Amino acid sequence: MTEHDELSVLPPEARPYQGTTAGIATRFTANTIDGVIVGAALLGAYAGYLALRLVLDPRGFHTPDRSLAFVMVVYLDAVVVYLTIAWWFGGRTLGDRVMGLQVTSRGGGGLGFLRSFGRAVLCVIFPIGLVWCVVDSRRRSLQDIAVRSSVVYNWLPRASS
Amino acid sequence: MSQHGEAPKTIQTFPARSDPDAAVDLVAGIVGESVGAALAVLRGVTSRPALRSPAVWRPPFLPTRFQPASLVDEVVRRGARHRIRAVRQMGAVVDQWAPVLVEYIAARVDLTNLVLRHLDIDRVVGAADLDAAVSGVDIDAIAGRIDIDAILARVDLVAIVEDVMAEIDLPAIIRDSSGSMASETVRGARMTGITVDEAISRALDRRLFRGRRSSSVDADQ
Repeated sequence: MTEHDELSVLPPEARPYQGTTAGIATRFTANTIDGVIVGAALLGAYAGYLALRLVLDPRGFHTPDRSLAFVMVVYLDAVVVYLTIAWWFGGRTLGDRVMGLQVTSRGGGGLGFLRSFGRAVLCVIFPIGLVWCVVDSRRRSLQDIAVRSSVVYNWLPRASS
Repeated sequence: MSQHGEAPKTIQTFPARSDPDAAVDLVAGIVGESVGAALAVLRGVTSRPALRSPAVWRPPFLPTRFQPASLVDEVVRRGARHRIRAVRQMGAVVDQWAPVLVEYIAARVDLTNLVLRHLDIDRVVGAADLDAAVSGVDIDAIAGRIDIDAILARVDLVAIVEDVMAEIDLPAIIRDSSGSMASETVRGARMTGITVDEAISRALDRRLFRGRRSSSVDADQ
């Protein structure tokens, strides 16, 4: 499919923004969706784990008493794994897909594993760094500056490389 | 070239011709010579001044109805009636026999080949006012009489559609379009996001008196 054909599937109002760096509202929305997705997935997995235990040992079943810190650590670890894998393979999380975003290197190519992992860790440890894209002239978050990445609007179904 | 002399010529031509040809020539010779002699006599008689004098055609001593001129006039009138009757009868005979004869001839002649060989069809078509002819045709009525169902029944639509789908790779188009435009909701959310992004950027540009920010990928390099 040529570049012209790819543009033709975009709505006309979105074409001027295709490939330009995204602002905070879209990125925050995508991050929120990702956070909810990971949380829902963890909850589902936890419910499945409890159900399995109930089936295997109905008499001795009791809900595990985990600390909030443990839950948070598991959740953040899951987020790191999720973000790393998503950015490494195609530069898009599910939230990015919904909002039409793609994480790329400065040259527009994909992020490698290390940069994806580093960016994921930085996003989890210091999420407020996203706000820097509001004041940065090139709409870079602190994570973008650290790992030399960009977040661009890409409404096409297949990620550009 | 002695054989082309006068005497040998008549002797040598007879054996060279077939009997029917010789018979035809003989008849033609007799008729021709007779007609020639008759014309000569006629010319000699009619050129005599006596025949042109009124005294011969209108002799005063005969009653008018018995004068030669009157007799000739009467014969001419009768001749004219006979001619008209003969022409009418001839027309009737031609009307009766012409179709039979034409059919008889047409059955033995390759008319199509004849027309193609001798007719300049381009000239004929060029001389015809096709626009006027077409403008007089009720094409809607013709189209209304066409049995489209019968035509479609003869067309292998399934094969055509399969060929077209194979050419345009329809699944890829559906995948791309449905993937990017999953729903109007997603599209609206994306456009809302872009609009808010732009609004925030513009507001901060005004507030911080910064120059116009570049938001393109190229600007990041």
